Amino acid sequence: MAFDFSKPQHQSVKGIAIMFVDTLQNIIRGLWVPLLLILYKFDWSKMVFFGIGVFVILLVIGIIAYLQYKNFTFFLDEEKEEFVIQKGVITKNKITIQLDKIQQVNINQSVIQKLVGVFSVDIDTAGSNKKEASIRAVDNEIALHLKNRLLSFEKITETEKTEDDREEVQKPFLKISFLTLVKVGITSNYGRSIALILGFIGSLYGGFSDVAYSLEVNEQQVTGLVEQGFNYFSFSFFLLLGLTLILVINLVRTIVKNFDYQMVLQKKALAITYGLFAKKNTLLKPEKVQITAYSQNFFQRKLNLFDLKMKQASSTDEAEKDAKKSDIEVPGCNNMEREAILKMILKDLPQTEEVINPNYRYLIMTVLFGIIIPSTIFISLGVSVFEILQPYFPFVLVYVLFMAIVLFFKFKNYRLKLSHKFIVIKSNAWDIEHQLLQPFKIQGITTKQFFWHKKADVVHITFHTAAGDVAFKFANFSLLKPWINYWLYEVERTERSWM
Amino acid sequence: MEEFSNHSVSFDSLPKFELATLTPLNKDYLNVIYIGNSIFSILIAIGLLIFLYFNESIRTYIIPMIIILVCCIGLVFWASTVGFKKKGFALREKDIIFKKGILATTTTIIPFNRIQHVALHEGVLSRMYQLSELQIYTAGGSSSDMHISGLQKEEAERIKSFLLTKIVTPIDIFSNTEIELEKPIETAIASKEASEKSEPQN
Repeated sequence: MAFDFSKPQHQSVKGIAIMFVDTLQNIIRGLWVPLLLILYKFDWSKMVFFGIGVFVILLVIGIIAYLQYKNFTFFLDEEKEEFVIQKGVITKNKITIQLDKIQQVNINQSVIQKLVGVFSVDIDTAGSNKKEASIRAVDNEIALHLKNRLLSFEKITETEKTEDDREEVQKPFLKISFLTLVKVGITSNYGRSIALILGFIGSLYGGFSDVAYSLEVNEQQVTGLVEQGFNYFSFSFFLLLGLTLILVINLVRTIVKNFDYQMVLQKKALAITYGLFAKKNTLLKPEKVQITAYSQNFFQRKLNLFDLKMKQASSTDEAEKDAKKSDIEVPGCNNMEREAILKMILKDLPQTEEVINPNYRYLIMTVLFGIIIPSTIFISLGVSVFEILQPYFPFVLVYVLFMAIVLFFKFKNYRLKLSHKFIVIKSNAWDIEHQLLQPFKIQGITTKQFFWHKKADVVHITFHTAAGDVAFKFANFSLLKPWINYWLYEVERTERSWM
Repeated sequence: MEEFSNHSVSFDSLPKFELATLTPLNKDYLNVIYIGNSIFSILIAIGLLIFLYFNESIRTYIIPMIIILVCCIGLVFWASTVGFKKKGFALREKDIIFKKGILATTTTIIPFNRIQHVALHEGVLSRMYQLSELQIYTAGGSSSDMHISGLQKEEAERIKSFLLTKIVTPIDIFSNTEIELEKPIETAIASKEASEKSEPQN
């Protein structure tokens, strides 16, 4: 079946429902505290007015949703090689995207979209800060075809495309089984789950005190209860509970996020689908990957598991914040799969021709900032100002020991491995990470040398890439100089595009 | 076959970035920096005076405060002079090198074929001395952008148009010796030589 995108067209009619829910969601999200207050102090005798009010609001939202649907069109201008979206009820917007600027096209489905049976197509471009280009509701087939057309705009004939589609079904490049996901959930990403729990507790407490305030609950009663609660449980019990919680959350999060993870080889690109509730669908072009990284901790090594990450070129302003979004992660793969993916993306596997170790000053520096300064501040504060801190002094010893082990391994693992085709930076104490960078993807090189490092011939080097900076600190400058010259040569001589 | 011959590249035969002769910034730019510093110092001094005027109790410490102020201003002038002397750039055939930094020497190298766009910027003070700042942007984010201030305006424009031609043209032969623009880059020494050899401008 042929799809004609050359004429302006609307989204799926079901899109009105999506627009409706979106607008409703925005309103509720913005006004949930006042709404809660209204409900709490509600005078039930005025039920009729309330009902009418709600009805009117819903009607208005409905009209807005309909107008949004009516005014939203998109089409593909094949002559100018542009994709055009027109939208806006009061202020008209026309978004024009040049096809060669398109980085990534994602097909997503939220829970509501799943209910209605539509998909959203999000277009990610290089250069623009906002991800404005998003079509909220199209049918599955249209979404897939649109994605294909947007990403492979080299005038594909109809027959080729159908062949492509058939291939898609036949060849799963990588499939992550449920068991693997369980393994991954147990062994990795503790840091992220801890951050998640802390964030949750924080917002829970914040939200709770908000509610308590607005409901005029006596807060002292509540905090009293909480303190009493603390007395019932011993500290170690809490620790155990916390650890179990982290593990369970980790497990659930990993499985929900990555359920049925599949990587399919499609015409020079990798199509990735994953997710339990919200199905994500991403297409990855190998040439857009700037930095490839894989990491493995002690447990993962025992289980032959790797965590693979591909960092894509992103527009610079949002690089810091949204970098994670354009990162593509393969949560768990074994050594063979890892090598296959690396080969697919990098065309080669990294070898090592020269290893550059960090200067011992790196260790001194990390010990100074990680151990000596914090513990000195803590102890001096405890001695001079806050005497309450003094019973906690033994913990300083535990901290120092822990950090000493961490920093030792960090130093031991910190390596710059160089070869003609790859720059590899190995780092971290626990999740040992290898960042792979190909010289021709470098945008620029910066070296930084403090004057007290001149004699020791020590230098910090930063590689600027379109997916962010990669740095190696405390390297030997004399060893590095020929390499820098080689990388410049490699970049300047090559006509190979970095993207 | 081309791929294969890559391995035979001898590192010693490659042009060395560390040996590139750096062109210092235009001497007039030091005046621009000094004027900026002076304005800053005067503002700080006025601030201090106002502060003293309204706080009678602190006036007993007036002498140490003035000494500290003078020291700070002196430090600012000294640091900016050193900073000026440490700055320098080199245009090679296929890349541009910019060096700066007082405590740490930072050297940034951007190959021409990675430049996204080039811009000129003129400050109010710089305009009085006919100086501009050359801004070079890459896809590598703000940390890799290069801002070379204190260039003579015509020179900056010449470099800019030179770079603009380099962004698109494909690279054919590799040799990264330092290059000469149509007119030589004016440095304190080079401009003297230039005036002897060729016709002086204007």
